[in-house]
Amino acid sequence: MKQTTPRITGPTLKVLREFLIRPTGGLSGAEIARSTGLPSGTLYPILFRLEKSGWLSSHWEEVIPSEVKRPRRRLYQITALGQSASRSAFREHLPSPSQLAWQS
Amino acid sequence: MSVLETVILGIVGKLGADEIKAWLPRLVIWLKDRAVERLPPEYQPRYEEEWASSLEEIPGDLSKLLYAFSLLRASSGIKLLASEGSRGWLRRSLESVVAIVALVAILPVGVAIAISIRLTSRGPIFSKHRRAGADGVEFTAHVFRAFQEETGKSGSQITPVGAFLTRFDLHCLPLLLNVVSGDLGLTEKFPRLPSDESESSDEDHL
Repeated sequence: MKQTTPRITGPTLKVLREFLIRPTGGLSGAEIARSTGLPSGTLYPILFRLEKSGWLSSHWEEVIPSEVKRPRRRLYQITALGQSASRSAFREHLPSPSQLAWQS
Repeated sequence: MSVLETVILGIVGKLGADEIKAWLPRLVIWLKDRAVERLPPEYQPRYEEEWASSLEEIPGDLSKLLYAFSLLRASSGIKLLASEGSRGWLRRSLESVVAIVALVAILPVGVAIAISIRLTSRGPIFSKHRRAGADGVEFTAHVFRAFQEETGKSGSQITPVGAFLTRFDLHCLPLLLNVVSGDLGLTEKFPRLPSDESESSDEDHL
């Protein structure tokens, strides 16, 4: 599969930051929407683009829908490529060191 | 305003609010379904489930409604992005035709390989693998089995026929079927799964 570098926009950085701050486990679309404040119409195309570029990966939550009585969540995780690529994207787009405090 | 009017207004107001409350969840589902419908068919099952679960996570009917409404824009965006990177239908069709011609041409070779696998080791002719193909959509790929069938011991041994096949990448010939169905591009690399030790040599460049 051809992998391209995603276009970095303000909302994309917001989404990436969310993954860098909370690197463990997986985040669902609704969770990311809530913490970034992005509308779903902006968020899902970003997630799609980042996944296509190999920066994020996603998998189904491991539950049986009939047991939990709700559909499975799709959980997104940042990949190693995504981590290094988004760190350099942040360096490029947010040059002020104070804004990179979360990295330390 | 008379007492009666106030009471009637109160009742109507209450009924109206109840009515809206009852209909909102349906409207939310309706909007989500319209958004899913607009997606390319291969993405529909995934987003159907993903969005249904996301909406369950959102508290409050109004927030759900806004989220669902915005999904319409999400599906347009995803549709656009999906068409950007994917191979055009013309290329897909051309590749399918080429793959069919190639399959017919190599059919005798394929049959010979199938017979030799069957005769020299126990187990099925093909081994199945789940892979992410073009556009990240998962599909099942069949390749000629090159390894001894799992016997419970860790690691499996390559068969003599398998060694020959993998040396010339002949075990990947059945992947042409996946090209016919459009799962895999003709010039695409066969994606590897690092966890599958039995597949260390079947990275393919058709």
